[in-house]
Amino acid sequence: MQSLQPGTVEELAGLVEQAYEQSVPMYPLGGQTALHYGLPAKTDGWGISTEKLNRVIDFPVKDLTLTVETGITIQALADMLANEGLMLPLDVPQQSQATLGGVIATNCNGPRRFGYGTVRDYVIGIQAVNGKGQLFHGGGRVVKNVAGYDFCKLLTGSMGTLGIISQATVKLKPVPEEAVTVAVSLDDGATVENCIAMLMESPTVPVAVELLYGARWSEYAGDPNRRYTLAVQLAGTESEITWGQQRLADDLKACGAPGAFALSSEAHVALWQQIQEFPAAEHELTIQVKTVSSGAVPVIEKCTETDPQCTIQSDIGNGVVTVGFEEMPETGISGLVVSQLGPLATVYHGHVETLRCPAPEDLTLGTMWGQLSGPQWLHNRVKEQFDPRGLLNPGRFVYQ
Amino acid sequence: MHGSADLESTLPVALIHELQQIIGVDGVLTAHSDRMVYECDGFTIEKSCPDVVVFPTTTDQIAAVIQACNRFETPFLPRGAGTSLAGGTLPIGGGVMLVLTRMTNIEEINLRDRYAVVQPGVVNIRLTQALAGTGYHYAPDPSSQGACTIGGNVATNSGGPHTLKYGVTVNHVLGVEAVSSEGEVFRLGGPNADPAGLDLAGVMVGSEGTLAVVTRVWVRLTRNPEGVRTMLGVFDSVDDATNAISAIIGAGIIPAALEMVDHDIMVALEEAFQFGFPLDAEAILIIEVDGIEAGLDAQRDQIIDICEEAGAREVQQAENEQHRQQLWKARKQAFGAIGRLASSLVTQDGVVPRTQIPQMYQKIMEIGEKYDIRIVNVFHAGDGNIHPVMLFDERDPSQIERVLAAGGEILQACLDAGGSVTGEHGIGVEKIQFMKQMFSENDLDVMASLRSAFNPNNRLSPDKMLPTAGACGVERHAPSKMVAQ
Ligand SMILES: Cc1cc2nc3c(=O)[nH]c(=O)nc-3n(C[C@H](O)[C@H](O)[C@H](O)COP(=O)(O)OP(=O)(O)OC[C@H]3O[C@@H](n4cnc5c(N)ncnc54)[C@H](O)[C@@H]3O)c2cc1C
Ligand SMILES: Cc1cc2nc3c(=O)[nH]c(=O)nc-3n(C[C@H](O)[C@H](O)[C@H](O)COP(=O)(O)OP(=O)(O)OC[C@H]3O[C@@H](n4cnc5c(N)ncnc54)[C@H](O)[C@@H]3O)c2cc1C
Repeated sequence: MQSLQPGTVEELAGLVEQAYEQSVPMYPLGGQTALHYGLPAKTDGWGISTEKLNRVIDFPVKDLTLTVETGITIQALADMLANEGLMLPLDVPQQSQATLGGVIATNCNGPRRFGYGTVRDYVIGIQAVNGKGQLFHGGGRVVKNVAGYDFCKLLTGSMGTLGIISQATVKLKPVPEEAVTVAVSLDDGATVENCIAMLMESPTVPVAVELLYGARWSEYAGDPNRRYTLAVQLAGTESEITWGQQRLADDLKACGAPGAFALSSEAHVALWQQIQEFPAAEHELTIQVKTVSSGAVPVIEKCTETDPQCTIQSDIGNGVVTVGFEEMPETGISGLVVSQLGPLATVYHGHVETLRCPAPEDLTLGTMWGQLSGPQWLHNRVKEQFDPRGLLNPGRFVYQ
Repeated sequence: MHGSADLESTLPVALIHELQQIIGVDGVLTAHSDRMVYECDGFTIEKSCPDVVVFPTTTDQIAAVIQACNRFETPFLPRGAGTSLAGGTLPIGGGVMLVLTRMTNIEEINLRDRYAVVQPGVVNIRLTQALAGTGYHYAPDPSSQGACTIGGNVATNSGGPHTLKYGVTVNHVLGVEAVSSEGEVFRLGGPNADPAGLDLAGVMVGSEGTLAVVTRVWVRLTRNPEGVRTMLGVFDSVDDATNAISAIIGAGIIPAALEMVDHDIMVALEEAFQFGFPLDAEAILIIEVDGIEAGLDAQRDQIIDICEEAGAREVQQAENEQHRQQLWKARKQAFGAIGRLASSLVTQDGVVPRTQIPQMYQKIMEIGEKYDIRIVNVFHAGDGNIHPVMLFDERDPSQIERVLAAGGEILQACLDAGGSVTGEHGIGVEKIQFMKQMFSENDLDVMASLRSAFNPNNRLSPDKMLPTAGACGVERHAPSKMVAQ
């Protein structure tokens, strides 16, 4: 596959137009950390990289917004923001490689979504080139704006199948003064559920609530003999945190989880780093179940029953459960995803995705993306409008 | 084009019969005098009477109505409470209007997973009222929340004072059930925030009723904050007040709400509510912070310092919940109160980068002077969302002309500052001519292509939002009384 690196948006639009005229499939490339996400490419074509599209267009610091080209890496972006005491609170693995465009295209979210929201809450303006080579934009540079259709939402999570995203405007948040982790070890699902139900309503308003399972997390567990570690991140001012820590410990105890403790600041940093990188970790098979919050415990228990040796990281307040298996379960992918976890996820309004597997070529739409939300015809029609020749990331996403 | 002239419905009798069969006779209005009520919404400059108005009570009825409209090649559109300030419910070319105010059930409230399921006709404030005592509320709080429907909020992506911190409607919509323009029922998203596939529920929000008719909404519920501090900053000059706004945001503080009211509106509010506003002040800021009780006094003090540094005469604090509620009531009734100031008014809904509020305010006042039109202001200041209100006498055609010219110039100034012509009221028919200034031909072409994926025959609410070839460039005359905010 040939990889092309347009240096300007106009060049990008020109390239796409050329590909459109010649009906050449196109594969948008960001940092290439998540190219295995989605059904694998089956046809040869052009890789179109955003590597050279990494300029800062406008950074009005005091408006708490930023407009940049999407090839900028998350690390470069974070460094620039940190200099001004600001952040884009999305937790992205492999930040020195991953790009803003890739994050938007894959709708990549992590643990702090519990307190800060997801990609769709931050992207307020977007520019892209559709499959015909038309450069278009939606939204704008101001935080409140309802003019025209919301292309920001349409393109977030569109997996590079409707357009190559060239520029985005994002809202920013001030970096909180401090952040700490309160952790506690738990033994059974019922206690976990009690604690989560409490945390959903907790006046301490955590920014992240994680449930962890497996030896990988043992250094953060208070009591290694217990099955689960619950890690809660608090962020805010010193007085808020001092109060919050105590309040949390008391409330957890009342839920049947005594012994909560605060991680050292080194352990705190290391833990959230590990959590952030987990979806990218090398497992034989990694799946992700996305349900409502109350679905997480049943899903987790089902997974540990299937394979007690698995590793689990769950944004449990949001019902996202990521599971790494060292060995392919006996049932195979479709047995696991379609027969076992799929129906359970459905009960909790969710679905199952495959993040990593040994033989991606065997994945089907069902085992890769789970049950589609919304009618197939509507997805197909939108795709036809944006990419009538089906050239953008053909075969990767949900159209058929 | 303007249906108001015809006395009898021009629709085929067979279609009307069919509609009566679907809905029942008492849910179908055909008499002109009954339909007249629906010839416009909160945007009263343009009028067009629907040929028939139906009040469905179920999704299936809506689907059946739409299928019938398609068979008879008749345009149709949804309407909620009709509080749109942009003419979103104007039935251009007549046709069938589906008024959804009889679909008022709150179908489910799930606190554990923080969502509720509502029918589209549920009035915004009813949901928060239904949640009283649970520790949760529905965050989007438009000033019209006592009247407007959640279906209408979804269609216009409504904001409100507290959307500064909590986000506008789209940040609180998890999913919708809808009927397509061809009459098929479908669902996008649901209780779970991560549905598989495209975020088409997100696309539906703010689409102003041009993509599909929303028949059910899954909304997020928001935890009530533990504590709240509400302040009233009193300023002797508007410049000082607007500078304080930009200093607060620039200091990295995101209050729950940050609103500005200028002198003339304050006087009108005082007459209406006797709140005790200092009538000799030039502007007030209503500033609210909320969150963890333990951190609130520090935030409050920081804000007071910033306001004082910017030249505030004083910063008062709401003494108790009742006092606070009164303050918000005054703020949310601002537009009702302005009615006392002039026989007619028009409100603009522009947005500028939030630190440019001071410059924008000056620009607005200059434009007012240039056109000799009195302008009073109430801003969702924290988001940069301005609402200059132009006061005039609609019996004087020259004033009307000047109002329209001044409004256009204000919105142009917002665009020049890198902003938008609408922060929350929508494009509708009102601002359709501005779309070409905000968006390129490509942008509009791609928007039209998105619409045709959902609404291929363009029978659903035609000629709204996008200045397409067929759009009827309704001339503007006679802006009459328009409330807004
Ligand atoms: C389900 C899931 C699984 C993940 N698995 C891993 C993992 O195993 N390892 C890891 O490091 N991270 C993983 N991530 C996180 C990943 O790092 C982020 O999604 C990341 O931001 C991708 O950025 P990138 O620049 O590397 O994108 P790339 O890997 O280059 O591209 C990812 C996808 O987005 C498209 N794309 C990229 N840029 C654009 C653009 N500008 N416009 C349109 N489309 C574009 C690509 O065509 C491709 O389909 C995963 C994320 C998710 C949501
Ligand atoms: C005094 C006053 C104060 C206001 N304050 C605010 C404010 O603070 N913030 C704000 O954002 N707005 C405000 N507005 C504007 C208005 O209230 C909002 O736009 C509101 O969301 C409209 O709701 P509605 O039920 O009245 O909808 P309508 O006016 O009936 O319809 C509005 C649009 O939505 C479409 N629509 C309605 N229901 C559906 C449905 N079920 N499916 C698909 N499309 C549908 C219509 O076709 C139309 O395009 C205010 C208006 C007034 C009169």
